[in-house]
Amino acid sequence: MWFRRYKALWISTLLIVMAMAVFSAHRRALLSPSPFEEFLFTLMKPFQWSLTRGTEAVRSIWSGYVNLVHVQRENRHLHRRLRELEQKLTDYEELKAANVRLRRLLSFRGDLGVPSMAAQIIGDDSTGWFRTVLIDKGRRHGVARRMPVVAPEGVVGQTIECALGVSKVLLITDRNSAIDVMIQRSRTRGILEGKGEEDLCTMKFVARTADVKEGDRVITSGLGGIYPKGLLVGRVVAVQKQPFGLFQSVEVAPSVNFGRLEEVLVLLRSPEAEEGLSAAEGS
Amino acid sequence: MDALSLYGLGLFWIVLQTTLLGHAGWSEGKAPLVLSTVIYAGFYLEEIRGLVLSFFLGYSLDVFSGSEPGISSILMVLLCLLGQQLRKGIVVEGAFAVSLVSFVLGALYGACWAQVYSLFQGDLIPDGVALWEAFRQAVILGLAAPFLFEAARKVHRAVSKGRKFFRKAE
Repeated sequence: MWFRRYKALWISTLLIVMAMAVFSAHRRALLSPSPFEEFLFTLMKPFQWSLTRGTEAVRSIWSGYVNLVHVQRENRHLHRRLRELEQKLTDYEELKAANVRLRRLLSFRGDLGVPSMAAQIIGDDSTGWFRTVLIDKGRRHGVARRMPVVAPEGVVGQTIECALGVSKVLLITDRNSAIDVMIQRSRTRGILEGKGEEDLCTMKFVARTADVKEGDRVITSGLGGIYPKGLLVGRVVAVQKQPFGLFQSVEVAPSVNFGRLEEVLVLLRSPEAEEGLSAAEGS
Repeated sequence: MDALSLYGLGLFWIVLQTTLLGHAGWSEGKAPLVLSTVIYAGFYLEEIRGLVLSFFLGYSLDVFSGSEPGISSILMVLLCLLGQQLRKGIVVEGAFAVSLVSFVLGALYGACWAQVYSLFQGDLIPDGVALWEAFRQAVILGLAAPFLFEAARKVHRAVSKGRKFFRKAE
């Protein structure tokens, strides 16, 4: 009787306890990803993939065709010919751009000297709070958690969750991201943290007396166990030294343009390194 | 069945947020569109179904974001429960009413989300930024809500009609 009267309240309490259990299990990496998440990723991947490709196609048609509407009106007799050529040109440009991107990615892959895998970005964060993206490679392809993700321009981020065919990548601009980095010129070290903005990070714990200048290149230090040493992260865009305090404030612009990122490389770890990392996480 | 179809609609909004909006250069215009489905469930769906639907929509939203799964589930269940209490006293009809209710509940959700998140993850998002972000997302949700509500209503009605049709056929 009492249960029936307050049924909604009981069910709400039960669901909230369930949500807390999911949260807790996730935090302790007991349930990462859970069968439900695995199912969702697998279910949504084709939709995300086709919507992404569809949008790109529409955008390409928009820029290649619709923008020329006024010109086409003036040249009615050339309309059909122009459209054909425009379409061919768009296809050609698209292929050329993809070729250049993939060539750069391939050459970068060779330079790295670390086994790596190319992946495509199929979606970005579902809320405005985080800076994460989804890539089309997952556990089935050998991707695991905490693997570095890079682009020819520099460091992109690290994988934080891997389903069978999809992985979630935490970008270096996310507030949760922290990387051990150093200034290439002066070898000054610091921790690069995201600010939740697309084009700015903060380098923290840089001693006030350290030699840092605007335009300095920031690279990974190799410490921290995730990113190999020497990968370009960005450039210093602002340095503020207070007359007091231990540290100076250093703002860094990432070298990667996250708004235009389409393909990335996931740096694969060797099985031994994988085991070592798992042991470190466990302890 | 109606809860399942609304869940499908919610998933569609999530996919839309993770693909189209970003590619259309609307990254800054992001808002949890799926909240509209939760609010609709709170006002129009049978109580238990609405709560279970909210739980799974919250979970799904977290799966596709950088958040730890669970936080949005808790808040969406509470939001749905709040909607169920509100529907005893107020009627949400017309675009303006839908916008206003969605804005208020959206802002409440955003503010609570930021606080709960900082409770577990520390002060990663400064208070001022969090409140501004919650407000911005609530405004977008409020503006889009009449359309999103109408979509939910259409899906809900279609399922109800389908059910009646099959009952008659039986």
